[in-house]
Amino acid sequence: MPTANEGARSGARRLAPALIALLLQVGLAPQVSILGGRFNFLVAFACATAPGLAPGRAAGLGFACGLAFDLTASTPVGLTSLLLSVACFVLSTSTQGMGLGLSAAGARLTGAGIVAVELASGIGLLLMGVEGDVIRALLVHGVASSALTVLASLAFLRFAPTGDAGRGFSARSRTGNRYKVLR
Amino acid sequence: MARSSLGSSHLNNRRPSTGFRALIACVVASVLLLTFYLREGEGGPVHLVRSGVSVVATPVRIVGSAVAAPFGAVGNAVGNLTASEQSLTDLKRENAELTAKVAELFEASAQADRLEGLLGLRSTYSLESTAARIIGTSSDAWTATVTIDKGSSQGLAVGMPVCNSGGVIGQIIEVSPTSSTVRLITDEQSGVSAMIQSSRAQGMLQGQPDGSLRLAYVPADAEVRNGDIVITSGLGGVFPKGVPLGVVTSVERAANASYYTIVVRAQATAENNEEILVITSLTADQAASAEEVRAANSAPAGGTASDGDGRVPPDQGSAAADEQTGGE
Repeated sequence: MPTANEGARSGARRLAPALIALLLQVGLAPQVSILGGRFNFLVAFACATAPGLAPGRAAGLGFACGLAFDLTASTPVGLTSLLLSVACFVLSTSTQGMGLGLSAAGARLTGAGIVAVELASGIGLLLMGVEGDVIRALLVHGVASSALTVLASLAFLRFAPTGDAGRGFSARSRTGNRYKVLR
Repeated sequence: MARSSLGSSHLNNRRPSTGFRALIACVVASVLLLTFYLREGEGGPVHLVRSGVSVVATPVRIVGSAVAAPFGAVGNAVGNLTASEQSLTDLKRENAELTAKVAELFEASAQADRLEGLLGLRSTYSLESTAARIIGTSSDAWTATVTIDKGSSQGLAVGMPVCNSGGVIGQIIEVSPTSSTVRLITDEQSGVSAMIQSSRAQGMLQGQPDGSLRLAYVPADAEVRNGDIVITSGLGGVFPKGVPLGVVTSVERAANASYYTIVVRAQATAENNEEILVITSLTADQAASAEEVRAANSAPAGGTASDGDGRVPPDQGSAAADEQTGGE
């Protein structure tokens, strides 16, 4: 049985990357622009962390990170939270809550999620009239920001959870029996 | 392993949650927020929350800006190093154009300031005047004169005083139909009835060979100090009363001397291409009153009718003073 101290340390370990992502997003992201793109540390954190969480929690994490981004940026509030909720849910569902960590598969999956969110964000801004040029919205802001955000996600993948502990998942065998899977 | 006789085990009582409800909740919340944000005004609740977050985030942004500043300079340096030759050429040309433009604008600004000063002078002293521009200076080393771009055809005449925004600069001594020559107060042959503004001590402001100014014939018992402002006295009816001439920079008195030796720094300087005012006529209150003339005459002046350099002390009013330079 985990002790209270271990629980507190575990909570702090989970909270620290979130806090770091938020501080980097507010303090550093506005100062760095490369080829028209910007880092999005909150999206990076959410997409790196979501595969290791249960789908419901992943959706909540995506919502929270997206909302934090919208409130600290100049984009319409609710857009990124919507996209990130869906993206994190999909990422978590695709891995069944088993995080891949800092691996090639993990990086590919996270990268795919980030690119999808950034491009969808560009399209959304285009549809809402915030962006006026398709090329600029998708190629300049979308692709450039995706590249930078994927780079940032590698650091968060290092500390991403590898799976939600304590849940009684079971797997079906060919004969239909269900039994607990060892982790 | 035998199947449990109890049928389904307790492990299968709870279906694992797919998280779909959470997703729906998050999506609905996001759509609602987006809708409210797009439809509400600047003072709506969502905008207010964002403003509050911005207030909290500002210190972090300031720290981030300070941390990133050195790296921004490095980025600029790298960008400059990789700039193309064409970029450099274009920038150099643009720099030259902008430098010329700045010089032009600076001159226009200075002219505007001077004209504003002239307007101020005109309104302060209620001067009836004509504006003109200095178009040249004296061509020899012995006279201090300037040429202005208006003459008799514009109503100018010999003897008219000339001022700029700083004060009196001289008097017209020659007139042609389209230009006039102005003798500056620093000219050796110039003399202007003046007085100390604070103590009203009367004297004669005279130009010196070295271009400086002396306030002569100020009685030794008068109050004169460094920094006192010297103004026109209006005696003689040529220069309007009260217009600044200069500032006292030194006051000396030799033993047993009747007068001070007072050096004055001119308030106004005449430069080429400068706007000036020619005072075309004086009103009654711009000349010295009869009482002021009597008071000036009653002050001990001493000396003889001529002190050898063509200048006559102003001891008996305007008639004697008129024998001096150009009509004062």
